Amino acid sequence: MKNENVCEAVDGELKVAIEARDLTKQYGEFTAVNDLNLKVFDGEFFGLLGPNGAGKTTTVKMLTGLSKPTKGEALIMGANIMERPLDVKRIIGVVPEVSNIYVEMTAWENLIFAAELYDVPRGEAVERIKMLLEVFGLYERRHDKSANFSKGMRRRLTIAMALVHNPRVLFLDEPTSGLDVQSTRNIREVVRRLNRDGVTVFMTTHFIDEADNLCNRVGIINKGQLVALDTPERLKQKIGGRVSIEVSLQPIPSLEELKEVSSDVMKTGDKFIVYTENPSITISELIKLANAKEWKIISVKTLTPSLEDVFVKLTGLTAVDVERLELIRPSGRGRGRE
Amino acid sequence: MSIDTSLKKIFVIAAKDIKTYYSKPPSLFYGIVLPFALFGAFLAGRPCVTEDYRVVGVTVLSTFFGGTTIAAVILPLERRSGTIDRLILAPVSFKTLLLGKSLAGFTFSFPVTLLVLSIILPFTGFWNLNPLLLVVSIALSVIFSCAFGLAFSASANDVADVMWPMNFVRFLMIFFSGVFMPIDEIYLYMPSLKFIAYLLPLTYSVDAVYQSIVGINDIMMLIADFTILIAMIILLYYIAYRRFIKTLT
Repeated sequence: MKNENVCEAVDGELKVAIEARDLTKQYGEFTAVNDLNLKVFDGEFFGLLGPNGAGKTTTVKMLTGLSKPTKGEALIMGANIMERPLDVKRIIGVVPEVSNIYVEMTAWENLIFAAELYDVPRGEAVERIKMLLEVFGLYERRHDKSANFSKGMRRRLTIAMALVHNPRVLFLDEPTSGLDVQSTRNIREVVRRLNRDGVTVFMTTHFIDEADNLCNRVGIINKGQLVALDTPERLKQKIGGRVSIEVSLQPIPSLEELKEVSSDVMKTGDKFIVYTENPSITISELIKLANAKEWKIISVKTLTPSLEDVFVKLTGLTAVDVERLELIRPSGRGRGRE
Repeated sequence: MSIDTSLKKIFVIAAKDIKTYYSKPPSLFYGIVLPFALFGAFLAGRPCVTEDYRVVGVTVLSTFFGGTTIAAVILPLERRSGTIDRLILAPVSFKTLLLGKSLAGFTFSFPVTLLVLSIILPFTGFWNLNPLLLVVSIALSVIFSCAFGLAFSASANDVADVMWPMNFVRFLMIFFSGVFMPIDEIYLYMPSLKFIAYLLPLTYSVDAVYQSIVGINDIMMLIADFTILIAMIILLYYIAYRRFIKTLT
């Protein structure tokens, strides 16, 4: 649903869909988001990455009008959300971190309610709702109370409700967090398709693979500050000097033993990741150490820097923190291999 | 947003609330069971209550508890489940949103009160009942009660956080506003404290309902009743609106 009242901001040749200007949010003495400046272009798939408590959700809340910034302004298609909230809200769809459906109502009733809130004409709404229910695999359960839905189904219904008015800009706050593989794949596919059809997507996630695979550009936020903003590949190049080696040994040594080779070692499953500036020297030392300790080398791979490496470097997370993130991540590492 | 669109959205929000929240235990308990329990308890403990005040008492309690409870229950429940964000994020003004919530309270309390009266009146007699005045008095009382409930719940996250302070104020108002007996009798031994009754908006609701059931005995007081109730409604909605906006900061 286009809204002609909202003018479109243009930055050079590109239309700016979302803009944060000095966006700041303070809760008492605590600064959740500090002077955030950001532009997301029309049709772009943008990912905001950051550890828990970094300020991702607060940023989305300020950009969508759920929270008033302490300082600065948020613009959607050139319109200030605080000055022209109704015009902006007509063209955005928001999927919050928590699936906020009415569990007392059926999937169909939830979607009809959402359509009525956005003034979607009845006939158009019914057609669109049928299509959304099909796309999200909920059509057969459309007359069931959503209290009986699984977490994945509730999430899919929440996203369907955000799409019922055909928004031009879609905000997704941790859309796949805690979901099963099937729901995750379904949601990623739908969002990817929407973006292909021209919808601007702003997604927060702590799944680094998700951002790497879906986003045109990513921003990394840490402690309320944007510490990086670029395409995933350019971000990887920026820390290019650092390569890692994945090694699998038998018997499995301790982390401390491998620190003889490099102080920056991380254990992941039954393998170790050794970070180094000079991979050939490190591999020689690894072989030397394995021979000395009578370990059998099962495999050795050199790995190019991943978005995760960028994330770790910029957010200052420890190896233990990253392992914790790994535990809640639905898919593999997604690291480029040489 | 045009008036048509705003009205439509007020009805959409109210219809959803009716479907979703009327059957919740707090709504049924505070909105229907408690006023009748209070009425019964009062009758048992105070045989001196005259029949006209019994009818007025149960009418006012029904409007007051029904309206305040629904309005006060819905917002915290929406906030707890996160669904309030859905309404805030929709192209709906906050005034429309709050009016939708009030309408849900009104459609609960208004018919319940009329139903209660239609059951009681044939047994008690109709005195000089003025039906039009009664409907207006009940409607204003219910709207005042909804605004009162919203003012309490506009920024609350939990039903319990609203209910304990609101119940404290509600019970004080019931006992000092002459719900079950004339104000003169309540303050018989402390006439200097009678001004308290005139500070409480429920007093005007009681008087309006009393005059529309028993007969108009003081037209100036009736005009004052309606004027003060309307002023209180505006003031309470403004308070609710300000408190609601403040949650965004």
